[in-house]
Amino acid sequence: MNTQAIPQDINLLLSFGTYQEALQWIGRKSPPRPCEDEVNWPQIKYFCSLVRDGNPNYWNEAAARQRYGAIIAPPGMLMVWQMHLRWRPDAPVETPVFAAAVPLPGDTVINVTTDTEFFVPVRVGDRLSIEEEVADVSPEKHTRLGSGHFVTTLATFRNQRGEIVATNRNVLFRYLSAAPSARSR
Amino acid sequence: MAAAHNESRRCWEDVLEGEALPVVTVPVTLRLCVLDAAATRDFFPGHHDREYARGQNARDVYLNTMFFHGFVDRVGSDWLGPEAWLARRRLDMVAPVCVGDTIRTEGRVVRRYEDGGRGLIDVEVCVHTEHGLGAKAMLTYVLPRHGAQPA
Repeated sequence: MNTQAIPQDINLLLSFGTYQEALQWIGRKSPPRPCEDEVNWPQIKYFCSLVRDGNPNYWNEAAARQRYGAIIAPPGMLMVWQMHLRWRPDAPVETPVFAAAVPLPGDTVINVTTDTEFFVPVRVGDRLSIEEEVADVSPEKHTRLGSGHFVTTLATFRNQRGEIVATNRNVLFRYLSAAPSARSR
Repeated sequence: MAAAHNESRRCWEDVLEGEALPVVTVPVTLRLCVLDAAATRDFFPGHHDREYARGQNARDVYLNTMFFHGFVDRVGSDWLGPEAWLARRRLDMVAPVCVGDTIRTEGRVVRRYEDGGRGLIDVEVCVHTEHGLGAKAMLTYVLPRHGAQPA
């Protein structure tokens, strides 16, 4: 395994700082940013084959058109559309997760809870954008995985018409891993 | 391809509180985790790098949030049919679900109610493995009503 050759690829793009600094981030908003790709059928099929979802709204054009006017994306793909490319020629790689920008001591993260509401179908061809806000940073907590802070963010997803298609409240655990292998990355 | 599609339609009136959903089992293999990373574009190392995952105090590479989203939604909509609209999903990931585990779902309708003329149900889906509870979801669906035209 050659992880030395491309250190940028395993960099988690975390910001480091103290809990006091993190508290300054509560209420801070990310600028709205467009998702990388328009909502597309190939990515939808790829995702559905992962979870073995045969819902005709995702596979059958005639059925989906009758119901929604087009193939729609599964609700479970909402966060997929916000994922970034790992490299691009014209801009530095940024973290796809605003919570990672909150300065804290933890050297790794694991996602804990999501609370997502869906308002409008996401159709093939839609261009989504996302805006995130830091809602809360917990005091230090001790868990089975390690000690760290829970970071709550609120994401709002809009389509090209400005309609809010979904909102997501996400809690991420930012912690100090016990073993050195995660720290070295 | 069309033959495999579930076009059955479960209306709000047909659902009972306490009703159980069919159990779904999935062996979590390294291949599934690789497919997960690719299909969700999620290259966070805990999902594909064993050494990293163990450094995080997980037993092995583990499935990501988006897998659970898609999976529990599928467990719900396989049972309800394509006219059910997922209005809200709350997911708690209790412990990493890792390579070598076998997922076994336990789902049931916990509440059936009306809100503003809409027929809603709350479905709880627990994702168990041999190590205990891995994740728990609460899915709120808007269902079609008897006599109403298909959406």
